[in-house]
Amino acid sequence: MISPLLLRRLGMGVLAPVLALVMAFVIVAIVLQLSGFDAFGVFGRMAQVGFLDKYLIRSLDKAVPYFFAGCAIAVGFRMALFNIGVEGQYRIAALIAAWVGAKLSLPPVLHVLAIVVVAMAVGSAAAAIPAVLKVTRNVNEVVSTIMLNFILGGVGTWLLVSYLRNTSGTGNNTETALIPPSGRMPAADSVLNAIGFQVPPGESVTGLIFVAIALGIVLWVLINKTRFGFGLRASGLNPIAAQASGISSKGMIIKAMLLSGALAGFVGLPELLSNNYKFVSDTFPQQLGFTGIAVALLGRNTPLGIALGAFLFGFLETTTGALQFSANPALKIPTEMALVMQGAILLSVVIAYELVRRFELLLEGRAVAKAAEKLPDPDPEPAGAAA
Amino acid sequence: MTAVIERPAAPPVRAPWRDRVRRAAIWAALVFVTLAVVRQVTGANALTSAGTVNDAIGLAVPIGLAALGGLFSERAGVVNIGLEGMMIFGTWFAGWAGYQWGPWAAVLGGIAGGALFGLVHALATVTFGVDHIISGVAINIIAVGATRYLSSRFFLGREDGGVNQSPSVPLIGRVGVPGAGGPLGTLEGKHWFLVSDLAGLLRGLFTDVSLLTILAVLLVPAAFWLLWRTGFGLRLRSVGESPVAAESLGVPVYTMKYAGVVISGALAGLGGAFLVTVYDGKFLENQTGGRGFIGLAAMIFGNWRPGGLAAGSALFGYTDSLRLREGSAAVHALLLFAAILLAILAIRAGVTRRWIPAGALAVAAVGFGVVFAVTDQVPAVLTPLVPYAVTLVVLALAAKRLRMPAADGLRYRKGETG
Amino acid sequence: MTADPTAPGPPAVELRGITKTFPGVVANHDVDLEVRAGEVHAVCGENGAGKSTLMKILYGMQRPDSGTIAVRGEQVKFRSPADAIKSGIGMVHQHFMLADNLTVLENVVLGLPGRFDPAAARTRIGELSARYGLGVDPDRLVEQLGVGERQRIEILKVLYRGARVIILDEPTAVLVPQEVDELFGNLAGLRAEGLTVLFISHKLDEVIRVADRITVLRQGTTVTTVEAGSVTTAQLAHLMVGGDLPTPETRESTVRDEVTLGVRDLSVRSDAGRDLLSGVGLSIRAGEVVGIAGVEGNGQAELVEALLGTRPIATGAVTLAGEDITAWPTSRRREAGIGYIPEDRQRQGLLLTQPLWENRILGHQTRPPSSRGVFISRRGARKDTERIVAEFGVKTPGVDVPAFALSGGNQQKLVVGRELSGSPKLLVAAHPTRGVDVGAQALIWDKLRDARAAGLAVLLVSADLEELLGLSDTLKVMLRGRIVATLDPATVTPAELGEYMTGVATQEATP
Repeated sequence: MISPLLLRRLGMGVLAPVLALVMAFVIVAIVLQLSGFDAFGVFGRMAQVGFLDKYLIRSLDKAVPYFFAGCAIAVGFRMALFNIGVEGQYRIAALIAAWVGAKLSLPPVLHVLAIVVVAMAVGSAAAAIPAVLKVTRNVNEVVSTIMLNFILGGVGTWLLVSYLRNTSGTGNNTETALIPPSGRMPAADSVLNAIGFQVPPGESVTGLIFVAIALGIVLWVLINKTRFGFGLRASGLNPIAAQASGISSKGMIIKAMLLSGALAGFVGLPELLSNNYKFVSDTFPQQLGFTGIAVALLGRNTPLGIALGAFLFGFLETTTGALQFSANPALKIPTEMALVMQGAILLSVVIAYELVRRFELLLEGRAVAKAAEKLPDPDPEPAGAAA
Repeated sequence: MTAVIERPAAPPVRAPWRDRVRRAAIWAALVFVTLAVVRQVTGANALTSAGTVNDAIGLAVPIGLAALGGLFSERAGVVNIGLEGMMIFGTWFAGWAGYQWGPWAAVLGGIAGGALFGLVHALATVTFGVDHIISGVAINIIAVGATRYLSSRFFLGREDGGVNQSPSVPLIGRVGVPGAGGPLGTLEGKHWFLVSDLAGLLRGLFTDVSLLTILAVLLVPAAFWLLWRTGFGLRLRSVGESPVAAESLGVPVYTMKYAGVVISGALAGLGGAFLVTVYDGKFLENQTGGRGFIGLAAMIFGNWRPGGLAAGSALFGYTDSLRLREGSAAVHALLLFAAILLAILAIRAGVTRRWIPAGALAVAAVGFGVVFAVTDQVPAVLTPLVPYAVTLVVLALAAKRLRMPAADGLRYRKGETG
Repeated sequence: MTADPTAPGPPAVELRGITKTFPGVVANHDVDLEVRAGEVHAVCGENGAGKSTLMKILYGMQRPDSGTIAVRGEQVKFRSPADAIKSGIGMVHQHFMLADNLTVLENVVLGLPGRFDPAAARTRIGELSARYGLGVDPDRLVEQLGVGERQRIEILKVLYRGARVIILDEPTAVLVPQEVDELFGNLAGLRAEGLTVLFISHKLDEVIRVADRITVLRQGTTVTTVEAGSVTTAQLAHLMVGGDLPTPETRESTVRDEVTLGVRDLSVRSDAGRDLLSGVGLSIRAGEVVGIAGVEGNGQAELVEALLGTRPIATGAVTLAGEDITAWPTSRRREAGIGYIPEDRQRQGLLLTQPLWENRILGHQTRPPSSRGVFISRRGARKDTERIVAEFGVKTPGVDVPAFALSGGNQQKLVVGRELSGSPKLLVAAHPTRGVDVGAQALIWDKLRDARAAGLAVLLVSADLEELLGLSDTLKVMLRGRIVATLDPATVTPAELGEYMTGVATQEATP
C-alpha cells in the first residue's frame, strides 16, 4: 500500500522537470520559428554538436560555477529564504579572494586553500548583512539582498579602483594582480581521461569539479540526514511549528544565510583558480547568481538535480555558442538565444512544478482517503445514517 | 441579560490624508531650507540650481513611474521585482514604435510592451501560483536576452540601429512658463540665501519641462485618487490586504490582481518610454540601469503610498542629478545636509523621549559630519548607491512604521476561503 | 427587497439533494434543508459532519455536484458569493472576513457595484448600526477592533447588502457567555425585523435556546429536522452522533505533592511596550490539570509562548521540577520534558507536506528515538510513529503518508501522541480538541486522563468551557494579561465563569 505511493512520488519527481523542459522547448521553438529560424534544425544541431567531446567537456566546465550558484541558492530555498544576494556575494568574494591570492605566497595546496577560505569567509560576511537585518530588524531578505547587490557591486568597484587594482601591470585595466602558480587549481583533465572521458587538446575542465562533487555529497548528507538539516527544512516548511519545537528560527536564518554565502564564495573560484587567475572588472562572469536561481529550481534544490540542471545550462550555452558559427542562416541563431532559453526554462520550471504539485496533492489525498476507508475502524463510530 | 454595552460616540470624522499633506509640506520646507543653508555654507551652488532641479525631476520621473508600477502591483498583493524587466521591454517597444511612428507612438509602445510582460507576470503568479519573486527574476532574465535578440532581428541593419540600440526616435516637446526663465535666472545668479535658492527651484520647475514629465507627475495624484477614492481602487487594495475577505464579498480576486499587475507593467513600460523619448532619443541596451529596482526601493521608502514614493523618487533623482551635473564635490555637500537632517530627527526623537533612536540618529549625524569634515569628495562610484543605501537604512530603522499590504507576496488560490 | 416576511409563502431557502465530493471525501451527500421565512433555523452536527460545506454551497463559494437551491421558491444557481448576495443571502463567517488595514466603512462597502460614495455609505452605516444596536464606527481601522466588534461588523456587512437570509457560521465559538447573550439579543432583533437566520453550531444548548427549528447533519447527510421546543440536548446528541456525546469528566484526583511547574511574577510586553501579561503566578503539581479560562486574546497565547520560551519575557521566573528554566531556550525546555499541543495544529504543529514519521521528529529532533548524535534516525522515528498510529488509532495507510492527507481528528491524534511521547513532565495543551470529531475528542480526553494519572502536569488552555470544567483540577481565569480568579471547577457554573472572564465578577487575588 505504501510502495505505490512512493513510486508515484518518484514518478512525479521526474515528470516535473521533463514537463518543464518540454514546455520551455515549445516556447523557444515558437520564438525561433516566428523569427525565421528552423527550430527543429537548431535543436537537432545542438544535440548533435553537444555530445561531441569538445562541447561536452566545455559544458562540463561551464556547469561547475552554475552548480555552486545553484547550491548557494538551494540552501536558502530549503528554509524558504530567498538569497537573491548570491550575485553580489560571489562577486565581492571573488574580488577579495583574488587580491589576497595574489598577495600571498604560500606552498601550492595551502595557497589554494587560503584563497578558498577567503572567498567563503567574504561570501558569508556579505550574506550575514541581510541575515542580521532580517533577524534583528525583520527586514525582508529579498529586498535587502537586491539593494545589497547594487551596494556590494559599487563598493567592489570602488575598492578595486582605489585600493586593490594591480598598479604595476600594463595599461590601466581595472583588474587585480595575477595569482601566482602556487595558488592555482590543477585541471581535472588527466583524471577525467583516466576514467574514460576524452578531453580534446585545447579544452580543459577545472579541478574544482571534484570539489563540487564532494560538496554536493556533503550538502546532501547535511540537509537530509542531520539534525541541522532537519531543522533547516522544518524552518522552511513551517517556521512557527519549528520555533515551537525548539528550532530557533533566528539561529537557523543566520546559519542558512552564512552557509549560502559561503557556497556563493565558490561561484567565482573557477574563474580565479582555473581560467584567468585574476579579477577583471569588465570580463568577470556576471549574472551567475540569477542563473543559480534557475538551476536550483530546475534541480528541485537537491544536489543531484542541481548538478543536472547546471550541466543543462552549460550545454545550452556552449551549443548555442557553436551555432553562431553555423554556415546555414536558418541555424545561425544569435547567442542571446541562450539567455532567452534560460529564462523560458525558469518560467516553465516553476509553472510545471506548480501544476505537478497540484496534481500530486489531488492524487495523494485521494489515495490516502481510499486507503483509510479500507482500514478497520479504530473507534466505534455510529453507523452512517441511511440516505 | 442582553444589556448593550455602552460605546463611546464616534470621534469626529477626520481625513487623515490632510494631516499627511500638511506634514509633507512642513518636511519639504524644512528640507529646502536646510539645503539652502548647506549651499550657503559650502558654496556648492549646484545644490539648488535650476539645472539640478530640472534634471532631478527628469531623473526622478522614470524612477517614480516604476515605483507607481510597483504600487499598483503590490497593493493588489503581487510582489513585482520584474519591474526592471518590464521597464526594459518598455524601452525596447518604445524604440521600435518610436522610430517608425514618432515619440507619442513610442509612449504607447512602451506602455504596451510593459503591460504585455505585466500580463506574463500575472499569468505566472495569479493563474499558475508561481512564487512572485521567481517569476519576477525570470522576467528580468528574459528581458535582457529577449530585447537583445529582438534588436538583432529588428534594428540591426537599419540606420543607426544595431544589436544594442534602435534607430533614432524624435524627442517629445518641452514647454515652460513664458518669461519666467530670465528674471528668475538673474535672481538665482545673486546667490542670496533662500531667495536665490527659491528662484532656482522655481526656474527648474517651470522652464524647459518635457510634456511627458508633466503627464507623469500628474499620474501621482491620479494614482492616489484611483486607489483611495474609487470602488475600483478599494477592490484592488482589498485583494492585497485580504483576498479571502474580498472573495467572500464577490470581488473577482483574480481579475483585480491581473488589473493591478498589468497596470504595473504599463507604468514601468511608460517609465522605459520616458527614457527613450525624453532622454536618449533611442532604445539603448542597459538604458534602464537598474531604475526598476530603484523604483522598487522608492516605493518601499514611500511606505507603499503615492506621496511617499514620489518623495523617494525625488530624493533619488536629486542625488543622481547632482552627481551627473557637478560630480563628487556637490555630492560631498550632501553629507553635511544629511548630518543636519539627522540631527533634527535626533532632536525630535529626544523631545519625545525615544532615547534609543535619538542616540542612534545623533551618532549617525555626528558620523556624517565627521566624514564631511575630513574628506573633500565622495568617490564617484559610490554616489549611485545612495538610493539602495537609503532604502536599506530606512528598512532597518523604520521597519515597524512601514506597512506593506498584508497579503503582499502570498499565493492565493480561489475557493480556499474559510 | 420585495418579499413580505409575514406573508405565508415559499420557504426562504430550500436545498434539495445537495451532494458535494472533494477528492477522496464526500462532504455532503443528498442533503435536504428547508428554511422558513422569518425563522431562526439551526444546522447542527459535529465537526466534519458537512455543515460548513453546505453553507459554502448556499453562499456560492462552492458549487454542488448535484442538487438544487431555491430562494423564495425560485430556483437559483450561484456561481460566486456575488450571486448569493444578489439573491439576498449573506454570511457571517466563523473566521472573520475582514481586511485589517482597511477602515470599517471600506470593509462594509467592498465589492458592491456602483459608485464608491463614502459619505452616503457613512450615513447608511450609521442608520443600520443604530437600528440594530450594533454600535459601529465606520472610520476606524479594523485592526483596532476586538472580536465582538468585528463580529458586529460582519453582521453589518450582511445587512448593508440588504440580505434577507443571514447565515452565521459557528458565531459563538469566539465569544464568552455574556457576549453570546448579546449576540442572541441581536439575532432576536433581526428576526423581529423579518429576517431569516441560519445558525450553524455544534453547541447543543445554544442551538435549542436560539433556534425555532433545528436540522441535524451527520456524516455529510441530513438526519432530520425538529422543532427546537420538542427536543432535549440528549436527544439532539443522539441524532448528531448516534450515541451520547463524550464527557470530559475526570474521576478521582491524582494530584501529587511535588510541584512540576512554577511560575512567578511573569510579565510579557509587546514590541510597543504594552503589557500582554502582568505578574502571572501559578504552580502545577505532578498529576494536576490546571485549566486557563478566558476570552481569547487576554494573554493565554502569550502565557503559552512564554512557557515554551518562544517569546521573551519582561520579568518573572519559571521553574520546571524545581529547576529554574527562565533563561533556557525552547530546545532545552523541550528536552527537559515540556510537551506542547498547539492551538492550531496545521499552523503550529505539523509539517503538512512531510510524511508522518518526519512529523514525529518535530520537537524531538535532539532525542532518541528520533535522532542519533548529530544525525536524525529515520528508522527510530518510523518505528515510534507506528507505535503512535497504533496506540492512538490514527487512521492512515502508513507512516510515509504526508500529514496533510489525514483528517483533522487524525492529525490531532498524531500531535497528541507525539507530545505525550518521551515521558514529558509538563504538557502545555492549547485547545487540544478544537475542531475534531467526537471519536477523536473522546480518545484525546482519555489519553490526557491517563497521562495525568501517571503524574503528568497539564496546563490546559481552552475555549470549550465544558472541557475546562471537566478536565481541570484547578481553574484560573485570565483577563487582560492577569490571572483574576482561581476557581474550583467542581462548584463553579459556566455563567459564573463567564462573569469572571468578562470582568463583571472579581475575586481578591489569591496567590
